[in-house]
Amino acid sequence: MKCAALATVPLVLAGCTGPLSTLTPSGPIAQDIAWLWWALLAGAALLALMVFVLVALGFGRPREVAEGRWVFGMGVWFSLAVLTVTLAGALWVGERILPHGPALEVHAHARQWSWTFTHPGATGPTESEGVLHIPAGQPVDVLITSSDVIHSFWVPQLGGKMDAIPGRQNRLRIEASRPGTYEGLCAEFCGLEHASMRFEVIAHDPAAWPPLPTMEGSRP
Amino acid sequence: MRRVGGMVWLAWLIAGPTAWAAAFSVAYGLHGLGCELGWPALSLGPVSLQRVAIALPSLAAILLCLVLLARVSTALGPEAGIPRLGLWIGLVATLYTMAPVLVATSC
Repeated sequence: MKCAALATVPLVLAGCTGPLSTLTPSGPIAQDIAWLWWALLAGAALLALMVFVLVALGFGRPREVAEGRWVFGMGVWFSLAVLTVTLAGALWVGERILPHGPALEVHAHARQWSWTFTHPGATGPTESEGVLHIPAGQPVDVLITSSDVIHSFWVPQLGGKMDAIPGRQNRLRIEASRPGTYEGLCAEFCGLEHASMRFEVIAHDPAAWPPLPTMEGSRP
Repeated sequence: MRRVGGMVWLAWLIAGPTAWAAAFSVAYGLHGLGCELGWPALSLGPVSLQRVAIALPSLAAILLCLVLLARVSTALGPEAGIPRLGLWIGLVATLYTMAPVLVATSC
């Protein structure tokens, strides 16, 4: 039984890496989100540890305990301190990843069950099916729309996620530190083919931006 | 001193958390409405209409908790202990959840 439990650990941890993992960020915005995730994990671990210690004490022989220390010291003030620190961290990260200041704008249009992207090209705006082209090393604002139901744009290695809502245009900032290909997906259940509503983000070397319109999957 | 029990005592007990919950719900609704109607761009003195609209329900809840705290002993006598704690919880919870509203980007 113990061996079986230990054998599952690598399987579970395998989910912490890969192209769709928030924990392997490839840009400053995703890096901030990953730090926040670790901070929240640390806070949750501290609170869980406190509860486990209390439970363990309950199994021991009866003894005199300082109730005030546990109820107020740990139960109220310690918990409140952990929540306050993590809340402050979340606010700080939240402000940093907002689309403040100028950025290149691209469009992402969702429908059941595919994505159409528009980015600036050498000869004007260029449309791509399932592939978003961006320059590496600079912030990019994705303007997100939908023509049918609610979808959600998410490239875990480059930034946060943002809903695509019919009748609205939402803005999400992403950034890739290095040129490369990153995977994205629809993060809001949108119908039978939701799971296959994937796309790619190709971050180009800034020297090769904007890309040529003859690039595969693109049309001017 | 007369003893107060039953539903009246229960109402005093949940008054603080209820004030917080009501303020939070109203602020949540006004936040979405304000973003849609462009309230962040409208100034009311040094702050935007958006911040005022979100902060007002919380200020009302804080005021309500303070008034009830001043009257809880008179109203409940020896039964005032736990309801007083509930009012303090409502007051602190409202301050805690309102604080980010004053500094964070709204829309």
